[in-house]
Amino acid sequence: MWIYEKKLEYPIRVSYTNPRLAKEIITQYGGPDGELAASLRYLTQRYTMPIPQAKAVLTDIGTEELAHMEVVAALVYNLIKNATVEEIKAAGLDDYYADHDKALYFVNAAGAPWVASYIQSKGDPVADLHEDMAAEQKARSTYEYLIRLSDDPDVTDALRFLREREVVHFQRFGETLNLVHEWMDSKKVF
Amino acid sequence: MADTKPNTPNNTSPPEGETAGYFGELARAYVPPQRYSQVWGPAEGLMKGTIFPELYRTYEPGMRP
Repeated sequence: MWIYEKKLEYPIRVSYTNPRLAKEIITQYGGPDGELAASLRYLTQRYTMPIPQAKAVLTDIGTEELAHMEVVAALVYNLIKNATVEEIKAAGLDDYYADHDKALYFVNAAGAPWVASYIQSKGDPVADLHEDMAAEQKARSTYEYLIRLSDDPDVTDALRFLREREVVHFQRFGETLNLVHEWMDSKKVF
Repeated sequence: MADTKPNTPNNTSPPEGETAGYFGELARAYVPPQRYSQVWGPAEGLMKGTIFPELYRTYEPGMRP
Protein backbone atom coordinates (compact mmCIF):
# COMPACT_ATOMS: atom_id res chain seq x y z
CA MET A 1 0.00 0.00 0.00
CA TRP A 2 1.14 3.51 -0.68
CA ILE A 3 0.38 6.94 0.69
CA TYR A 4 0.30 9.69 -1.92
CA GLU A 5 1.77 13.14 -1.29
CA LYS A 6 0.18 15.67 -3.58
CA LYS A 7 3.45 17.36 -4.42
CA LEU A 8 6.56 16.51 -6.39
CA GLU A 9 9.61 15.12 -4.59
CA TYR A 10 11.58 17.97 -6.16
CA PRO A 11 9.94 21.22 -7.37
CA ILE A 12 10.29 21.72 -11.11
CA ARG A 13 10.15 24.68 -13.42
CA VAL A 14 10.87 25.03 -17.12
CA SER A 15 12.13 28.27 -18.66
CA TYR A 16 10.29 27.96 -21.97
CA THR A 17 8.47 25.58 -24.31
CA ASN A 18 11.05 23.16 -25.67
CA PRO A 19 9.69 20.05 -27.47
CA ARG A 20 13.19 19.06 -28.58
CA LEU A 21 14.33 18.71 -24.96
CA ALA A 22 11.06 16.93 -24.05
CA LYS A 23 11.75 14.34 -26.77
CA GLU A 24 15.09 13.57 -25.14
CA ILE A 25 14.02 13.64 -21.49
CA ILE A 26 11.07 11.30 -22.12
CA THR A 27 13.58 8.45 -22.25
CA GLN A 28 13.82 8.73 -18.45
CA TYR A 29 10.03 8.19 -18.38
CA GLY A 30 9.75 5.11 -20.61
CA GLY A 31 13.26 4.26 -21.79
CA PRO A 32 15.48 1.31 -20.83
CA ASP A 33 17.18 3.11 -17.94
CA GLY A 34 14.19 5.27 -17.06
CA GLU A 35 12.15 5.66 -13.91
CA LEU A 36 9.28 3.32 -14.88
CA ALA A 37 11.77 0.50 -15.47
CA ALA A 38 13.57 1.32 -12.22
CA SER A 39 10.45 1.38 -10.06
CA LEU A 40 8.95 -1.79 -11.52
CA ARG A 41 12.29 -3.63 -11.35
CA TYR A 42 12.76 -2.95 -7.64
CA LEU A 43 9.13 -3.38 -6.60
CA THR A 44 9.04 -6.75 -8.37
CA GLN A 45 12.40 -8.10 -7.25
CA ARG A 46 11.69 -7.50 -3.57
CA TYR A 47 9.55 -10.64 -3.13
CA THR A 48 12.48 -13.02 -3.51
CA MET A 49 14.93 -11.09 -1.34
CA PRO A 50 16.03 -13.35 1.54
CA ILE A 51 16.30 -10.75 4.32
CA PRO A 52 13.87 -8.04 5.47
CA GLN A 53 16.47 -5.27 5.04
CA ALA A 54 16.76 -6.08 1.33
CA LYS A 55 12.99 -6.14 0.86
CA ALA A 56 12.79 -2.78 2.63
CA VAL A 57 15.51 -1.13 0.52
CA LEU A 58 13.87 -2.31 -2.71
CA THR A 59 10.47 -1.08 -1.49
CA ASP A 60 11.86 2.31 -0.44
CA ILE A 61 13.90 2.91 -3.59
CA GLY A 62 11.17 1.51 -5.86
CA THR A 63 8.77 3.95 -4.25
CA GLU A 64 11.15 6.86 -4.73
CA GLU A 65 11.56 5.91 -8.39
CA LEU A 66 7.78 6.27 -8.79
CA ALA A 67 8.19 9.80 -7.43
CA HIS A 68 10.98 10.40 -9.95
CA MET A 69 8.72 9.14 -12.75
CA GLU A 70 6.28 11.85 -11.72
CA VAL A 71 9.02 14.51 -11.75
CA VAL A 72 10.12 13.44 -15.25
CA ALA A 73 6.48 13.43 -16.44
CA ALA A 74 6.01 16.97 -15.12
CA LEU A 75 9.18 18.13 -16.88
CA VAL A 76 8.15 16.60 -20.23
CA TYR A 77 4.60 17.90 -20.04
CA ASN A 78 5.64 21.42 -19.10
CA LEU A 79 8.12 21.46 -21.99
CA ILE A 80 5.43 20.53 -24.58
CA LYS A 81 2.08 21.72 -23.19
CA ASN A 82 2.22 25.14 -24.89
CA ALA A 83 3.99 24.02 -28.07
CA THR A 84 2.36 24.76 -31.41
CA VAL A 85 2.09 22.05 -34.05
CA GLU A 86 4.73 23.95 -36.03
CA GLU A 87 7.13 23.85 -33.05
CA ILE A 88 6.42 20.16 -32.54
CA LYS A 89 7.17 19.45 -36.22
CA ALA A 90 10.35 21.51 -36.09
CA ALA A 91 11.54 19.53 -33.05
CA GLY A 92 10.87 16.16 -34.70
CA LEU A 93 8.18 15.30 -32.16
CA ASP A 94 5.45 15.10 -34.81
CA ASP A 95 5.57 11.28 -35.01
CA TYR A 96 4.90 11.11 -31.25
CA TYR A 97 2.18 13.78 -31.58
CA ALA A 98 0.41 11.74 -34.26
CA ASP A 99 -0.27 8.97 -31.75
CA HIS A 100 -0.39 10.76 -28.41
CA ASP A 101 -1.06 14.49 -28.89
CA LYS A 102 0.62 15.96 -25.79
CA ALA A 103 -0.23 13.01 -23.54
CA LEU A 104 2.51 11.21 -21.63
CA TYR A 105 3.41 7.79 -22.96
CA PHE A 106 6.20 5.36 -22.08
CA VAL A 107 8.74 5.60 -24.89
CA ASN A 108 12.46 6.11 -25.18
CA ALA A 109 14.03 9.12 -26.89
CA ALA A 110 13.68 7.46 -30.29
CA GLY A 111 9.99 6.60 -29.73
CA ALA A 112 10.33 2.88 -28.98
CA PRO A 113 7.71 1.78 -26.42
CA TRP A 114 8.58 0.48 -22.98
CA VAL A 115 8.95 -3.30 -22.75
CA ALA A 116 9.29 -5.62 -19.76
CA SER A 117 12.54 -6.98 -21.18
CA TYR A 118 14.19 -3.75 -19.98
CA ILE A 119 14.12 -5.34 -16.52
CA GLN A 120 14.99 -8.68 -15.00
CA SER A 121 13.70 -10.45 -11.91
CA LYS A 122 15.98 -13.38 -11.40
CA GLY A 123 15.12 -14.83 -8.00
CA ASP A 124 18.82 -14.78 -7.09
CA PRO A 125 19.40 -11.88 -4.71
CA VAL A 126 23.07 -11.41 -5.66
CA ALA A 127 22.26 -11.34 -9.39
CA ASP A 128 19.31 -8.99 -8.85
CA LEU A 129 21.29 -6.55 -6.68
CA HIS A 130 24.09 -6.43 -9.26
CA GLU A 131 21.48 -5.55 -11.88
CA ASP A 132 20.12 -2.86 -9.58
CA MET A 133 23.57 -1.33 -9.03
CA ALA A 134 24.17 -1.37 -12.79
CA ALA A 135 20.74 0.20 -13.36
CA GLU A 136 21.65 3.09 -11.04
CA GLN A 137 24.89 3.71 -12.94
CA LYS A 138 23.09 3.58 -16.29
CA ALA A 139 20.47 6.03 -15.06
CA ARG A 140 23.20 8.32 -13.70
CA SER A 141 24.97 8.37 -17.03
CA THR A 142 21.68 9.01 -18.87
CA TYR A 143 21.05 12.03 -16.65
CA GLU A 144 24.57 13.26 -17.45
CA TYR A 145 23.88 12.99 -21.20
CA LEU A 146 20.59 14.84 -20.69
CA ILE A 147 22.38 17.58 -18.72
CA ARG A 148 24.76 17.95 -21.68
CA LEU A 149 21.77 18.17 -24.05
CA SER A 150 19.83 20.64 -21.91
CA ASP A 151 19.80 24.32 -22.83
CA ASP A 152 17.37 25.18 -20.02
CA PRO A 153 18.99 25.91 -16.63
CA ASP A 154 15.75 25.21 -14.74
CA VAL A 155 15.44 21.76 -16.33
CA THR A 156 19.14 21.09 -15.72
CA ASP A 157 18.58 21.86 -12.03
CA ALA A 158 15.97 19.07 -11.74
CA LEU A 159 18.14 16.67 -13.78
CA ARG A 160 21.00 17.28 -11.34
CA PHE A 161 18.79 16.35 -8.39
CA LEU A 162 17.64 13.14 -10.09
CA ARG A 163 21.22 12.25 -11.01
CA GLU A 164 22.44 12.64 -7.44
CA ARG A 165 19.68 10.31 -6.21
CA GLU A 166 21.10 7.59 -8.48
CA VAL A 167 24.47 7.97 -6.74
CA VAL A 168 22.83 7.55 -3.33
CA HIS A 169 20.78 4.56 -4.49
CA PHE A 170 23.91 2.83 -5.79
CA GLN A 171 25.44 3.13 -2.33
CA ARG A 172 22.32 1.68 -0.68
CA PHE A 173 22.18 -1.30 -3.06
CA GLY A 174 25.87 -1.91 -2.44
CA GLU A 175 25.29 -1.95 1.32
CA THR A 176 22.32 -4.29 0.75
CA LEU A 177 24.53 -6.63 -1.27
CA ASN A 178 26.94 -6.76 1.67
CA LEU A 179 24.08 -7.71 3.99
CA VAL A 180 22.91 -10.45 1.61
CA HIS A 181 26.44 -11.86 1.42
CA GLU A 182 26.67 -11.83 5.22
CA TRP A 183 23.35 -13.66 5.43
CA MET A 184 24.51 -16.23 2.88
CA ASP A 185 27.78 -16.75 4.75
CA SER A 186 25.87 -17.25 8.00
CA LYS A 187 23.60 -19.80 6.33
CA LYS A 188 26.41 -21.47 4.38
CA VAL A 189 24.19 -21.25 1.31
CA PHE A 190 26.05 -21.61 -1.95
CA MET B 1 39.69 -37.06 -7.43
CA ALA B 2 41.78 -35.60 -4.65
CA ASP B 3 42.52 -31.90 -4.72
CA THR B 4 45.99 -31.19 -6.01
CA LYS B 5 48.12 -28.68 -4.20
CA PRO B 6 48.13 -25.44 -6.19
CA ASN B 7 51.44 -24.09 -7.33
CA THR B 8 52.65 -20.96 -5.59
CA PRO B 9 54.69 -18.80 -7.92
CA ASN B 10 57.57 -16.96 -6.29
CA ASN B 11 57.25 -13.33 -5.25
CA THR B 12 53.53 -13.14 -5.83
CA SER B 13 52.22 -13.02 -2.28
CA PRO B 14 49.88 -10.04 -1.95
CA PRO B 15 51.09 -6.96 -0.07
CA GLU B 16 50.34 -6.87 3.64
CA GLY B 17 46.70 -6.05 4.27
CA GLU B 18 45.50 -6.36 0.70
CA THR B 19 43.56 -9.56 1.20
CA ALA B 20 42.69 -9.00 4.83
CA GLY B 21 39.74 -7.27 6.38
CA TYR B 22 36.73 -6.02 4.53
CA PHE B 23 37.80 -6.73 0.95
CA GLY B 24 38.56 -10.30 1.87
CA GLU B 25 37.05 -12.44 -0.84
CA LEU B 26 37.60 -12.65 -4.57
CA ALA B 27 34.79 -12.81 -7.14
CA ARG B 28 32.61 -10.48 -5.08
CA ALA B 29 31.63 -6.84 -5.48
CA TYR B 30 32.12 -4.59 -2.48
CA VAL B 31 30.81 -1.14 -1.69
CA PRO B 32 32.25 0.29 1.53
CA PRO B 33 29.43 0.74 4.05
CA GLN B 34 28.64 4.36 4.88
CA ARG B 35 29.21 5.45 8.45
CA TYR B 36 26.71 7.93 9.79
CA SER B 37 28.48 11.20 10.57
CA GLN B 38 27.58 14.78 9.75
CA VAL B 39 24.51 15.74 7.72
CA TRP B 40 23.24 18.83 5.95
CA GLY B 41 19.87 20.30 6.94
CA PRO B 42 16.68 19.38 5.05
CA ALA B 43 16.66 22.48 2.80
CA GLU B 44 20.26 22.06 1.71
CA GLY B 45 19.76 18.31 1.34
CA LEU B 46 16.80 18.88 -0.98
CA MET B 47 18.76 21.27 -3.16
CA LYS B 48 21.74 18.92 -3.39
CA GLY B 49 19.85 15.61 -3.64
CA THR B 50 21.37 14.16 -0.45
CA ILE B 51 21.89 15.15 3.16
CA PHE B 52 25.22 13.26 3.24
CA PRO B 53 28.29 15.27 2.20
CA GLU B 54 30.27 12.07 1.56
CA LEU B 55 27.70 10.92 -1.04
CA TYR B 56 27.47 14.25 -2.88
CA ARG B 57 28.99 14.05 -6.38
CA THR B 58 28.68 17.13 -8.53
CA TYR B 59 28.55 16.90 -12.31
CA GLU B 60 29.41 19.51 -14.92
CA PRO B 61 28.92 18.91 -18.66
CA GLY B 62 32.20 17.83 -20.16
CA MET B 63 33.30 15.88 -17.09
CA ARG B 64 34.11 12.27 -17.78
CA PRO B 65 34.01 9.56 -15.13
